[in-house]
Amino acid sequence: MILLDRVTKTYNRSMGPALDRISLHVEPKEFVIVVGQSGAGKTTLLRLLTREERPTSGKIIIGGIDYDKLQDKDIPLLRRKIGVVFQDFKLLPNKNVFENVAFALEIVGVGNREIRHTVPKVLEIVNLRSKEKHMPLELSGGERQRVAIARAIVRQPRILIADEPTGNLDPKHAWDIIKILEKINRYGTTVLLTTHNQEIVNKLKRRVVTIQGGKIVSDRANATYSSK
Amino acid sequence: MLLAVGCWLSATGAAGGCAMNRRLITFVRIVQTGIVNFMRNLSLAIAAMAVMVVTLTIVLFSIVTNATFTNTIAQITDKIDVSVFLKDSDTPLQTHQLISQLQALPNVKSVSYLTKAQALQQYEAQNAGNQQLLTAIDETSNPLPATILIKPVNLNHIQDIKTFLTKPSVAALQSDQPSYSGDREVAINKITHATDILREIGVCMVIIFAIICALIIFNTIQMAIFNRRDEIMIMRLLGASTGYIRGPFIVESAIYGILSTLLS
Repeated sequence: MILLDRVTKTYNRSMGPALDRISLHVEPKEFVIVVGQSGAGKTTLLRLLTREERPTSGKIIIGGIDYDKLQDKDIPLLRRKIGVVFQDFKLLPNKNVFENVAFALEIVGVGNREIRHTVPKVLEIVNLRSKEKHMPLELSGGERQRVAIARAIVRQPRILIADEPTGNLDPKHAWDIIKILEKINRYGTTVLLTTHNQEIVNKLKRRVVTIQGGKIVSDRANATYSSK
Repeated sequence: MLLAVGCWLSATGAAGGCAMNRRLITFVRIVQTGIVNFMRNLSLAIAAMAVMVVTLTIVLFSIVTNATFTNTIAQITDKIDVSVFLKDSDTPLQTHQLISQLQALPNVKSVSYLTKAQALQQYEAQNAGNQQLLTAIDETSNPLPATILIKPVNLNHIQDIKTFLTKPSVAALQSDQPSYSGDREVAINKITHATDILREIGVCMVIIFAIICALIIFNTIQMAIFNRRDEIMIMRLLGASTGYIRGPFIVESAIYGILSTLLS
């Protein structure tokens, strides 16, 4: 599903590479946690996957799409295949919960009837059916993140990328989010989660990829992690 | 490549409907978003439109002024002609040759010929109120010369015609100086120069105001884009196509333009 082959990304030559010959293979329906300190290169890795950045060298293939052959005009089509959840939610403040989720469908030209049919179902999955008329500012952090997740999965992507989705949340809400991600994974979506919350990592008991200084230093199934 | 991505997209089945239908829905949404954005930024929109209305009014005003001047010049030019008075002794052949030569000159629009009798008729018509003068003329044998009327193409280059008419061979056929000379010529020159300058100023004004107007619209839309850069980034990350992001801004600019034009 996700294949990276010796991917290097250098922003500034004098600083050294942000990612240094990273190779990673993620199977379909896998749940992978990427851990590492701030600045280790986690975000750079995700930005490469969503094609916000191009690798300096190396090969990236996602869902059969070779990024070397991807033209700029096809980038929107790629992004529609990947659901992304951000640490800072990135919700549209002037749209309510329903509209925020519907927006992801609107921009790809889905009809209104189908939007009215699909969005409530997705809000059901994240337990926000009762708050669909609320504006993002009226919601708690955890609720906002659930809206963002609903928006990311409403188009049924095969891959969900969650960049520190719990970074701004207290432990209880954080765990709610993780449980939703597990649920989505059970439905068959490949989930790539980055975090530096060791409690979550240790509780999940999933494949853990550790990045340090731009390199993968360990890649183990059922792993635990200590941020020390 | 596009095909592969497209197939993958339709395989998920999140989006239904045929491609044509989807394009229509997208177009409708772009227009809707443009209108909604326009309404949301109403205060900014009104400020921008006020400036545009003023500018457009000035542009329109200069265009109208310019057109009026052009029209006036055309009318004046049409009325001005050069009269060449022939001697009674000229033979019809000489007259005919002179007319053909005049017609061959580059700056001559048309040449018409009045015989002695026609010239008398015209004179009588012009002075129909002056009975004394008419009786005086009746008593003499027609004193008026046969006349050639020349309409020039461009008043500024009337000198060409003058040069031709003062050639000794041509001057020998004339009973009197051509009638453009003296004060009338000076007046004609002044009018044409003045109108030429005014027309040039008018064109410059129109161009300058058109540029100002374009800059104002451009700046307003730039501000709108700057205000909404987060929204644009989110749309991009969600996979909105460039056209879908750009479309509402184009609709918004069009509304600015159309409304300002209607108001001004």
